[in-house]
Amino acid sequence: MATSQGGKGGTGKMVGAQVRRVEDPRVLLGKSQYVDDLDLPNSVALAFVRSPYAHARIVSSDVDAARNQSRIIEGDTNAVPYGMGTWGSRSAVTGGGAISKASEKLRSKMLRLASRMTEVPDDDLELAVGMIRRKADATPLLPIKELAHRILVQAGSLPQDEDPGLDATAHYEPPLSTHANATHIALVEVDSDAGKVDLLRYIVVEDCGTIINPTVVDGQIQGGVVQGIGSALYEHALYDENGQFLTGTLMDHLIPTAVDVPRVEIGHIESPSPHTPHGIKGVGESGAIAPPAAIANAVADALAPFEVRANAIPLTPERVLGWIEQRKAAA
Amino acid sequence: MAETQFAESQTIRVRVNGQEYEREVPVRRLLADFIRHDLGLTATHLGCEHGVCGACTIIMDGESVRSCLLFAVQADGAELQTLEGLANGDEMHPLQQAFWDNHALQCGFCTSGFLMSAVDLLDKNPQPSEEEIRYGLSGNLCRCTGYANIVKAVQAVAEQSLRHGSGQVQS
Repeated sequence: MATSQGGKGGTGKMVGAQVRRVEDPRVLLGKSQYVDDLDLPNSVALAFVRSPYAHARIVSSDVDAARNQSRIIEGDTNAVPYGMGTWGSRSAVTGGGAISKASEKLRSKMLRLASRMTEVPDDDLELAVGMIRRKADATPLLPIKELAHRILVQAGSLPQDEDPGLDATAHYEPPLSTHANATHIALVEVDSDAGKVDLLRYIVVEDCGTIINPTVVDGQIQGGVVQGIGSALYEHALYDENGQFLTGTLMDHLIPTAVDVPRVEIGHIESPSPHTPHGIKGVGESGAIAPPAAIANAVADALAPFEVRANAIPLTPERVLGWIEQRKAAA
Repeated sequence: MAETQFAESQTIRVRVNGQEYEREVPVRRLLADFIRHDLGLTATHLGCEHGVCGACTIIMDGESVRSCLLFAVQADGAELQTLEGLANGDEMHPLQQAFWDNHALQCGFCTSGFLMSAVDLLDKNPQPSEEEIRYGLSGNLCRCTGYANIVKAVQAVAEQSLRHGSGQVQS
């Protein structure tokens, strides 16, 4: 059993360009079937329902209805600004924070302009699926399509201090670290004659704060654990005494295959972070970090009669058998 | 001793996803490179290029093969199927749909190889057990998913074909 805490430096900056108008939808959508029918209302919907975060922030709770009016653009290195990878919670925490800020800017711009058009104070307005409505009694006041037409096409009629377009860019730097949390329990069987370690069960209970997308969270945990199982049992960057790298191909550097790994049993605890928008924490590290410790502890426990200290990875049959034989010889 | 002359290139004919191609290829060009560069079919991915990762898996004359371990000239006269041949127009192959439905890909690099291996697996064994699926896919490496959802997707298609009584996956 082991508990992991993946630290995350708060230095990442990410441009929140996710919420913006699409100049050339083909560039961003690739071969999407929606390219041809991407008319004005669609591209407007695209602009402000850009991600699950934006869904939550902007279009109230009716995600299904919103989905029908939205186009989600997948990450594409051709289409996004410079980034440095997804490590250290840069996707959910940093990217999510930027999206959240950009969405908030866009939301307030829409309500501000809708307030001018409807002559209802913007504090009394809210965004709903496809429309701006009165907060108090949910009366529909202005279709978003109409608002978008005004902002995009009749931009000349906007107040002097308003830029045309339904886009917003935001930068976000997490004020404090968040930590990926999980507890891992491994059940192993060790063949004391051959040194082979079999994983019988693997259980993870994780806490990534607010769960944005349960399917993605489970996928990250399962995938992370299997990477960790690779570190624990198989993968080894090995050099000989001359410094020659010996495990430079996938023939030598063993990555676990489908037959080597169990289906991870996953549980969730949601403790939202008080430091990030929506209480988001990262999730990638909470699967990948702990397996070497959990599995090595389980192996040590299984080999308690031999008083073996499992203190190196990977736990190859050769190494495990070596420990057992060492203790036997010493006894 | 007279030096033996070897041909540097050779004209081959292959049928890929139902379409005939005749091309002159350098004799040492890999089948994977031929598919990607000569034919422009880039759904077949190249990972390790030494026959371990399975990303380049295609179907050749009804058998799944690693296209990085074959020369293009070895495919002369063969019938090949690549990922491009799976979908029926805009309609995804049941395995593609099941991968989509079950979150069976994360970065997606290995996916085309997994799909082709799964096509071959279900073609030969339409109702595999979980263990048979895992063994059937053990020639493909995935670094992101931990395999659970890939196995689930293949199970879903097997169950679907059982319900429809066809016992065969349309490919």
